[in-house]
Amino acid sequence: MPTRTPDHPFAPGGPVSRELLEAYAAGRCDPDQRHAVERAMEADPLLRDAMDGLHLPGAIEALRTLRPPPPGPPPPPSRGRTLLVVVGALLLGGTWLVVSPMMERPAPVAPERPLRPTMPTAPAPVEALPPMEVAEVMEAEERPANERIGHAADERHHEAMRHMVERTSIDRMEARAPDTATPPRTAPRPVPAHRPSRQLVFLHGYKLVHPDELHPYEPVLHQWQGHTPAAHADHDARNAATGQVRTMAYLPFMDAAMARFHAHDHKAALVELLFVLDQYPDDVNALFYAGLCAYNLGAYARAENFLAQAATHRIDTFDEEARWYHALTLEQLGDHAGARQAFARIAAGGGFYAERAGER
Amino acid sequence: MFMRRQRSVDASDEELAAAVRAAPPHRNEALATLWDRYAHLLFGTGMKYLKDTDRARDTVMQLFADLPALLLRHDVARFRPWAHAVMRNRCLLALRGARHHADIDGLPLPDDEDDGEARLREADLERLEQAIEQLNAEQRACVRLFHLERLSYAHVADRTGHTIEQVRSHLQNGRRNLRRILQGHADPNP
Repeated sequence: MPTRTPDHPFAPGGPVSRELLEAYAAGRCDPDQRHAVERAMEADPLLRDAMDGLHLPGAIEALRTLRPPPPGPPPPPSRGRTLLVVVGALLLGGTWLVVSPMMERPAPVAPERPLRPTMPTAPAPVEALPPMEVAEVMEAEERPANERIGHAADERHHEAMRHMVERTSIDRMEARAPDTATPPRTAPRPVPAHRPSRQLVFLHGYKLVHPDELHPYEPVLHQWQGHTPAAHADHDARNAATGQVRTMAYLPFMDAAMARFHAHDHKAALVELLFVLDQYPDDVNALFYAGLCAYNLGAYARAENFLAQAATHRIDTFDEEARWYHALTLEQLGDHAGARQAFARIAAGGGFYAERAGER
Repeated sequence: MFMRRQRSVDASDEELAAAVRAAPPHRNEALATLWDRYAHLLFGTGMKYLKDTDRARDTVMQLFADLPALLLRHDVARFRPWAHAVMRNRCLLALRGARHHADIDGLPLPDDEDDGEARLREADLERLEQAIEQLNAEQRACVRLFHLERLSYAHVADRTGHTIEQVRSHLQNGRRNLRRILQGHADPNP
């Protein structure tokens, strides 16, 4: 007969609290507590891995700053279904009266995103604004064509600038005899804080960060209706498993949005980008182009908010453009002192927009 | 932040996982309880593999942000080993710098290990003694000192002359071999 009791030598014991784990990692346990934790570790691979990690320097301090993420977007099935409904409505030339019910989902919460300390020209931290509604988009007025921003071929995010190389003269170097002495030891090179390059894609002539970079763990964004994942035997098996769930891949959706942007239909483009931001508030592509659309619609407070987020985003692909347009937006908002400072910072930074900023 | 209520605290992990599939506010409440139970464990796991507090933190937060969608896509019978496997796989993918992700979050979990673990915990002491005798000398010594005499890793290391890492290795290998012996495998391959 089994003799399973709490005293069984291989029983894992009771649950180990987080406080006890922290005390164990800090070496503040008595022998009984220590053995209790270790006995639980022996029976639980997760706890074993966790304790291995929490013993590393800085882990306990970092653990105390760990905070849960804000409530996420609705799960994919309803999201995908709604996505197709919106796309269909827009393709049919539906008005905002058709689209607005889709936007009555819970408002997204702006993610808590620390600013990179190595970015001296970044705009100030973004203030929380209530989410932009479709009605607000529809009430906005397009600026005159000659005052719109973000469309010219000489902008940094335009495909025409993709292969631009700034050529400079190179000083001739004198040949030197080989140095046979042992080179002095140097400190190891610091690991870059973030990646120097990212996978990009150009849609209708405009730069976007590839979704692999933005949403690496969201396979639903890479799926397309015609595709049958290997987990299912065939199309029918997939449909049986997923029910009526329909999804739309990220790039085709953004392609439609960018087509509207390219055609200067900023209202339609912004409606689509808001749809993306409603589900993925951290999507830098949507943030940047939503900022441009909002600017071109005269919604400067919204533009300022979107562009500031794009300029301080952890993915720095749009940093330079977003800072430049952010400064222009500050000017439109009447914050002339802030705009002057922003232009001065851009000019001093020596980047793509430095010359233009210096002329302001 | 997630909202939390008292009633979700007593629910099992699997009940909470089922609640996460539901609509808010039940989802947020269940997520909050799962966060309380697992965030520190998954963060520690992330630290073990990534050796970087920021990356470990980001991976945990991303996992919890993805949790509602993941639980809708996968039929998770046992949440704890599944969450562990997902976290570990994500860390390994991050270390490899993988760009193209297969669906790594729904990998099947081995059931035979659970079966062996249950046998180990329910074995009577006489049968257990016989099984321990079949282990090699190092594993036998470590298993006896740790599980029967209830000494800590450090004390077992002192008594046997092994390092703590060696003690843990002998304990894990010994435990695996005990499971196999109790499951009826003739050669535990100690």
